Amino acid sequence: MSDATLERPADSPWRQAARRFFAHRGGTIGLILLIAWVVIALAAPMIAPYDPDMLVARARQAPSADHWFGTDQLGRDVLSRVIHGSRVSLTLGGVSVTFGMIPGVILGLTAGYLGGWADAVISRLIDAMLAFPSIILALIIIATLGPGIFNVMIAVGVAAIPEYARLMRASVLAIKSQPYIEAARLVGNSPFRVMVRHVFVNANAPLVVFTTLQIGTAILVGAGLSFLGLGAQPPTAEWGLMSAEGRQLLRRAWWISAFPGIAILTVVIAFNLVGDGLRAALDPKMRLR
Amino acid sequence: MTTGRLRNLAATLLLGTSIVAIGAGQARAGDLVIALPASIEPANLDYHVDPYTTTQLLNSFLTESLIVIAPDGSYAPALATSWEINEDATQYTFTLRDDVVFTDGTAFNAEAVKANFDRFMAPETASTQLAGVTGPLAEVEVVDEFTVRFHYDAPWVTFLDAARRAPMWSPSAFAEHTPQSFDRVLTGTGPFTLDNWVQNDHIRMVRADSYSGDWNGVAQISGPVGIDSVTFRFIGEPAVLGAVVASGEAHVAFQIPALSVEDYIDDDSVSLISMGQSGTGMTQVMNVRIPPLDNRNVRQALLYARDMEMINDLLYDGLYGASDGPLNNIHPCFWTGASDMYRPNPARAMELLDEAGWVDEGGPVRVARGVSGVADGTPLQLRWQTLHHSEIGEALQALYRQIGIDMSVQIVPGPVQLEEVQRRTFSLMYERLRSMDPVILDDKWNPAYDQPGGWAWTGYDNPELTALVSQLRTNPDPDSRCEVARQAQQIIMEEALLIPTLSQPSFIVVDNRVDGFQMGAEGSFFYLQDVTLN
Amino acid sequence: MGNYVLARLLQLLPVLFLISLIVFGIMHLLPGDPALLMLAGAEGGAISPERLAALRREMGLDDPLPLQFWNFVSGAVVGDLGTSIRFREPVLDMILDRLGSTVELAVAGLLCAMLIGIPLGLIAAVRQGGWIDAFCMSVSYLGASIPVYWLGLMLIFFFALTLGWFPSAGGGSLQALVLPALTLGLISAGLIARLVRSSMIEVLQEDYMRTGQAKGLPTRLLLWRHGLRNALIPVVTMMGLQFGGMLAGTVVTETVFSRPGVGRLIVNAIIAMDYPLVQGAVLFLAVLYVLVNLLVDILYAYLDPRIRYDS
Repeated sequence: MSDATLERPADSPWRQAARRFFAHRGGTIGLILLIAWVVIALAAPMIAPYDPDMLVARARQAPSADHWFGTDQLGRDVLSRVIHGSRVSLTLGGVSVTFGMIPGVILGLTAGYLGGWADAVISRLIDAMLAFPSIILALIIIATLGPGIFNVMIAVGVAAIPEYARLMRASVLAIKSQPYIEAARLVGNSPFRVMVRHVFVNANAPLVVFTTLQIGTAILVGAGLSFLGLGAQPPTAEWGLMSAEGRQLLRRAWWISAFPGIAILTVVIAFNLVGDGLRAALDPKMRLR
Repeated sequence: MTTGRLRNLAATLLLGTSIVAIGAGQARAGDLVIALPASIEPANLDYHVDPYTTTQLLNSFLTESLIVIAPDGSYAPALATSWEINEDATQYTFTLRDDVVFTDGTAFNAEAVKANFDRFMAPETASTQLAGVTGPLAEVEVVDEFTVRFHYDAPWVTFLDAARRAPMWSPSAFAEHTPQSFDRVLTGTGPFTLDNWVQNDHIRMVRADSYSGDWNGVAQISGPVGIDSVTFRFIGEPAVLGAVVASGEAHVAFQIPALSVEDYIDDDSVSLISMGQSGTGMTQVMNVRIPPLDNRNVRQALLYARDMEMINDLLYDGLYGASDGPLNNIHPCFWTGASDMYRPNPARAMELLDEAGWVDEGGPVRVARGVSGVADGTPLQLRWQTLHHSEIGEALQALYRQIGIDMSVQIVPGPVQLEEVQRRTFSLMYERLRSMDPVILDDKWNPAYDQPGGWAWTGYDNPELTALVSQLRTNPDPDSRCEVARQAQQIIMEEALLIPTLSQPSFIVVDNRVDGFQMGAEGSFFYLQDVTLN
Repeated sequence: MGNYVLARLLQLLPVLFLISLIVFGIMHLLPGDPALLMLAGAEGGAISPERLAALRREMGLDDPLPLQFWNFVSGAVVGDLGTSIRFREPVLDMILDRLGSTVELAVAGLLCAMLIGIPLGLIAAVRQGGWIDAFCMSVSYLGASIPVYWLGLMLIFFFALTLGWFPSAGGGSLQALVLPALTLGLISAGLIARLVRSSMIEVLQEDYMRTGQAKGLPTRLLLWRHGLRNALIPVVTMMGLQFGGMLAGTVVTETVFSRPGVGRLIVNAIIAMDYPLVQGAVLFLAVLYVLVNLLVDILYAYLDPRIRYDS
């Protein structure tokens, strides 16, 4: 096989994956939504009509031409706060997933590669950590670290470690038994290096899919923590916190709680759709459907 | 659609369904349902053990104390018919009623009073509040069957406060239980007996038929109460608490949020009660040990930069009470000078900050230039930590930002509050004490109480102020106590040791089908002795 | 079968040990002094250092950590999870008091999830590719992406505050269970619908279904007789796993709806820093989760003889 054939667009595996992704209607919609939110987050100061932390109008005004999403309990513009909140939530999703992925992947690789005693210990540890519902694990970590948006990222990330470790371990075990690992060893290559390369190439798909879905979950859990009063602190424009602050006013000013909730919904749905689209594109078993 | 119309529509809908709900038998005739905020649900239902005001309130439906506070704020007879205090306030003698029986049939007498005081003063009971209020009680003497005398070695001027707080339980009943488990029994004199308590949900009490209203100076009706039972439901969501009377889920809603009050103003089927609570109001005490609040100019700037009237309108439709000084404005010993001392004046606040060395160099936040103990260029940052009502902090945060102060607002749980106070690392910490007695100024400003469990947090030590507040412990004369308290308040305000904010009144909605619902002298308690349901 | 159960139980021991180690470890990283919290009054009074020291000794806080851990584990084994700081009641009693309400909510939530999820998934599978399919899948995505607390708030706003159909808070009655169960159920309904859909599609492509169709058997009969039963096997497994997730979901739901339950107990205990209560309740939930999962596995092995477990 020459290099030239590899570069031919029709045969490129990436092209194929992309084609499969865009054939998945949900994935396409999700990607568009996601790009829209990323653009909103990046351009927040330019597109937000007001300063999100300033008292710009009478408090608790219903949605109007001046304030599309109304004003909150202090007289801040809800639309501007929702727009700025996208930065917080997307950062939370991204950073916390990194916090979970790195230790999780290392644990899973080690367990799967070394096997035996190390595998037994790590596997039991993963089982033990999985026994804690993620929100409760995150809650007690927050209790240790204290409230605050950065601590939420750590807590949500740590809560995801066992899932990552389990995923990686399974991938390693599947690949370890493949003949090409044995072949590589016979040729004289370091089996570990071969494995890491192969594992990363082959475990890429589930890892990418899981990470995409996990970002959505992280955003949900983080907002839940803020809602319980243990996450972001005022005046941070965080969607969970905004919903929580508006709950006292549900009857009088529903918009304070409603719009941040819709914002979370659309972001998380975007990640879920993209995740499923990626699964369809990358997972060979899924291709059959 | 405007907010108003939307709200009216919602109200109409609610009203329509409320009839259905009652008709469906949600509130059985004779069962009074009272909704309370879940945040005030006690952890232990026995006020001998638990420190919270709600516990005291709930206990008042199960039993009486020696004396009671009448709606006009004076002490009235309850289980004691009369009392005498000796000159130097070291001996308190109570003459008891001779016709009182506990609901388990045992008689109430001087021995029972002694047994109750001995119980909550014993270390095993680990009483927090009541033992503290009772202080260094030397002896409880049973003079005869219906006379009891309390002895102190040194003057203790606030004993009547302890006497009206301490619920009297049946000694034979509590002898059978541990101090911790008795709270599921609580055998008292009535008017109700405890039926059950499902934690995080409700408490139900049923009528005690042995009760006589004569045992309580506040009750008008003699004999047992006119309802079968009373159920206290704890509601977590404030918006829901505000709506339960309108939706027919409860007859009475206690301490509804200010922003729900408007829903009931034009409603003829309910009465709306707003009642203040004397005390310190909601304050943020300043930690004067560390910069920037070790400088009086900075502290005064914080007071000049606030506008509590505006914030009250913004957040609470102007329904909260004013609290301009170390005691709130409705406190009998409030010093009125506090209201004029720091009228909103952002310009003056900025001057004071400049003088203190916190200068505006064009950025959004002022920075230090020649402030002692602070590196040049350090931004002017403060932390506002509070247990609740963080919206007040958020509103002030916006005002302070305009004069170049970067203030963060943090809701902290009670234990974290204590932790910060212990480590003395806080800058502005929420503190509220509630009492009609000015002795709370001693609790809060006497450096002797700057220790674990004490309430003197600010770190300010001035012999003149300490001498003044100490007198509140020993001086029994009400008028001169208030005078002393006013002088102390003046010093505290001149030194700007705290940010007074607002005072939270109790808003109570009572359905008109309820007759005889009686508020206490303070917004934190009410009486059910005379209640009937139509 | 017996050996399999025994092996699984033995495997559980180190997991349980690690769970208790994690709980204990995290609790000892928490800031704050439990003895001080126990003594600190709410509205006044001072605490003497001697009293504090005495209580610390009494509570065993001065013991070396391994001894404290041993006391914790040996107590937990015989059902002694310690005493709550704030409530001064045995932690286990407090949990058991509230467990009924939480299980009730979780079961009702699961029921809601099935009642909504299974029909949605079936319809979507049978009408694969049509607009009904698209609609069902949109609903399932919504369920998976909606914040629990927000859904709860909106249901309160519409059905309790505006329409007045259901009570907005509290426990005890069936009526009060409707909104919280719906909140919890809608979240999992999406997941179940998607699972039912995909496993039904798989079943529809099986040979026996095609043969059946070729033989001219009525489609409806085929669907109900053969399709559904086979499609539901993975759903049953999933539901067992979901039940653990449901217990977690109750944390937020109970808070929003002011229901007495274990989840709300934990949240409040964390906020009030009631260490023994947090420690005991978290340990209890984790062990419960592990046991429920084990039960599901065993049930599954029992029900489906095709699966063999040789470990």
